[in-house]
Amino acid sequence: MKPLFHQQTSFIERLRIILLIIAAFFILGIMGLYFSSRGFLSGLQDISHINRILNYSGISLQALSASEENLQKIDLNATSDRLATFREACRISSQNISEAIKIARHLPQIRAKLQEAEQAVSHYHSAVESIVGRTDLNSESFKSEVLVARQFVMDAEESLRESQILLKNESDTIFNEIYDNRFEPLMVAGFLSLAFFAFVVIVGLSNARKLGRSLENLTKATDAVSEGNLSYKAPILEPDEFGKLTFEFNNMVKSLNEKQHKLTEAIDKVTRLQSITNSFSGALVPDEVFDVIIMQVHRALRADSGSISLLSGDGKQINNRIIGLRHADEVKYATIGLDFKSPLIRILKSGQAEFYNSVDSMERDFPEVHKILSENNIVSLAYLPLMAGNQIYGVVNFGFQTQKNFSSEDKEFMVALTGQCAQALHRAKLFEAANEAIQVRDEFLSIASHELRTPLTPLKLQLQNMSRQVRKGQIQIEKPEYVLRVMENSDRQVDRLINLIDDLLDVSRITAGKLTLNFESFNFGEMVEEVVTHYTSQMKDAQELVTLDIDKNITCSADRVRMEQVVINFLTNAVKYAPGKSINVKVLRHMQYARLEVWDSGEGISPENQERIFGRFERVRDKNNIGGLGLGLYICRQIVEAHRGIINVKSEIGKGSTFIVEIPAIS
Amino acid sequence: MPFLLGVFLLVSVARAEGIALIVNAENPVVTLSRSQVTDFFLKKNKRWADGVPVRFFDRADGTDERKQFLRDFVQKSSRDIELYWIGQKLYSGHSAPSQIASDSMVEIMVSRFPGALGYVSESYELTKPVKKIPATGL
Repeated sequence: MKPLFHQQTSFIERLRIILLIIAAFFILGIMGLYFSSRGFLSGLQDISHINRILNYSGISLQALSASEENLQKIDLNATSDRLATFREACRISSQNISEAIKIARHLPQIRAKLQEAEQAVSHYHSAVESIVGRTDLNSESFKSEVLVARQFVMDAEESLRESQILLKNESDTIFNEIYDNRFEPLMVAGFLSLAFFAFVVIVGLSNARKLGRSLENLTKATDAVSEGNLSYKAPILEPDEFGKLTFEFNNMVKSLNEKQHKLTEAIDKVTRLQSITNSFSGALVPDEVFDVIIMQVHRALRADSGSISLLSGDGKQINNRIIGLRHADEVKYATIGLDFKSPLIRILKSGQAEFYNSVDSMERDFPEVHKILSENNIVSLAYLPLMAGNQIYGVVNFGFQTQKNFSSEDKEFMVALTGQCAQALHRAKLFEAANEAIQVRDEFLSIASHELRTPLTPLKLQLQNMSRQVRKGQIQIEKPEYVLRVMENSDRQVDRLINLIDDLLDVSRITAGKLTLNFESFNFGEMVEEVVTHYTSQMKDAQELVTLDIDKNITCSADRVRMEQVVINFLTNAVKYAPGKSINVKVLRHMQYARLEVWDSGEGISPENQERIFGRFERVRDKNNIGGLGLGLYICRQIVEAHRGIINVKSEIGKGSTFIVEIPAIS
Repeated sequence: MPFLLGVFLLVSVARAEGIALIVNAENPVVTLSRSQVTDFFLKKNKRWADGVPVRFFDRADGTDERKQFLRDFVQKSSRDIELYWIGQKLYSGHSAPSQIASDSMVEIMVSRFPGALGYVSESYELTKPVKKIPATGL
């Protein structure tokens, strides 16, 4: 299972976050310092404003005081030449006051006072304007006007003074505030520095430690692996890049380990296969091959039990060679019927290997097999066909007392191994067949030479006798009968030799696949009758023994000469094996076939010989020691089969034999 | 008997030299208490009940009316008042009310300002649009 490596928790991402936090600290510090000192700055600004207002109001106050004094002088001196002075005082004071008002726009109380003062100044100005220039200086009206003007100037002064006191109070308040909060920026800076320091120490140290641990972990892993410990698995400490690196490293080592393991296994398998092949090279006959299979292969696969199952000769039962089971079971199941419920029956047919990781899966379909296996503690089982080419020779099976999970490689190996076994078995069978063939041929050669020699001895004797008599002058023209007899005898022996050699030639033609047929249409029944008639005319007493039962309405397209040869062969055999007994030759139509039956009342042929007699170099060997090469029926069979016909024999011991030939007829 | 006469004289002088509070004719006030008047004089209260600014007209120092006013209303010596105003100039910015030389001038000034308040001899005949109002709490 691949662990999840979150990008958020990765090392680089963590570093990035740390850098962001540091930047945030920096910004926070600047902002903290700015906000904590902003009060100071605005306070200082306010104080400077207040100072300027104080300055302006001071100037106006001075101007107004001077003007007030002048007013008193007017009162005293009653002069009218000071208008400009009053106007100037009013202008200066109102100008300064309006400047102060502009600055004091954020200080509403002070501003109101200044506005009062401004208004008073303007009243004062108009009052003064109305006084100056008057001449009734001692009149009550004038004096009252002056008093009024004084009232206004005093009002203005009072308002200005009030505003000054307010300004001073404000200034004090601001200053006190600044003074009280003078440590604030220092505290903010100090707190932030401490927090930053703590952050750096905690986060930095923990990360450094994690990093160190991860690196140490990896170093340990590489050390272990370089020392050859391929099963080492480094623990994954953190789900970050190092974790991923460790994980990949582990994977790499794991796959390296697996590859090495596989390589070792492969080498081991090759070695085992090699040893088995070597063992097979010494096993020439099937029995030896079976021994090798059951002993060596069973060992090579490290199986606990093994068996070879082969179909018996008659195909009605299965012979088992078992190893590794309890002796009683080995004996009991040495032979089983085809109705025995076991997978091997179906494998014998299908040729498909079957593997059972657990024999429990067999319980339902093959209860008896399951029982045997369970009693012998077999847990896993493999059935493998012994197959070479398309031929299934049998089934081998290997049982394991440990639970196996047959991997595809295991299966391939076992199949390859049994393939080797099957090849060896095939070779052994071929070897056996070749040996048999050689034996048959040797026997044939001795028979053939004997048969070929048999006519030569009387021929030579007669020729020697003749020449001796001629030399002695005993042969005279007057005794031609004798010479004729000798010549006839010799001729018969030569015919016999010719027949033998013809047969041999036919066989070699057939073997070389050079049997050529000259097809022609002819009446099958008439042909048989002619042959039988001709044949019997040459044999004495034969006419009485041979009876015919011939349908002359059957036409065939066949090689007439070859078919004649078949008929002659049948007749010869009948005469040879049933001498002096009746023979029946029958020709009839059987479906689309022309059928020839030659029955003799001889001794009959046993069932196992019935199959054999159509083989090459085969003769029914018996006590009568009848001569012949044993090629006749073989040649007949080849001829008939070349006509797409069938050849057969029906016989029972003591009841004679019927040789049957069917070849396609023209309807 | 002369003592009795003296007392009578004193009382009669006091009566003869009695002062009356005058306000502008537009002022709706009907009567003023002693403490109200004192507060107006000392500029502790600078507005009438209807919001009009108070403008107090004092008499020149040394006159009988002023002495009587200080004795009856403010109940402080002239010197105390002088010191008070010196202090006020520094602490509140207020300056002392104008000191007017004569009753007639007081009358004129009171008639000129709607929020004006002053005092004249009780015997003084009013000619301008001002009115006398009685004081209580004396």
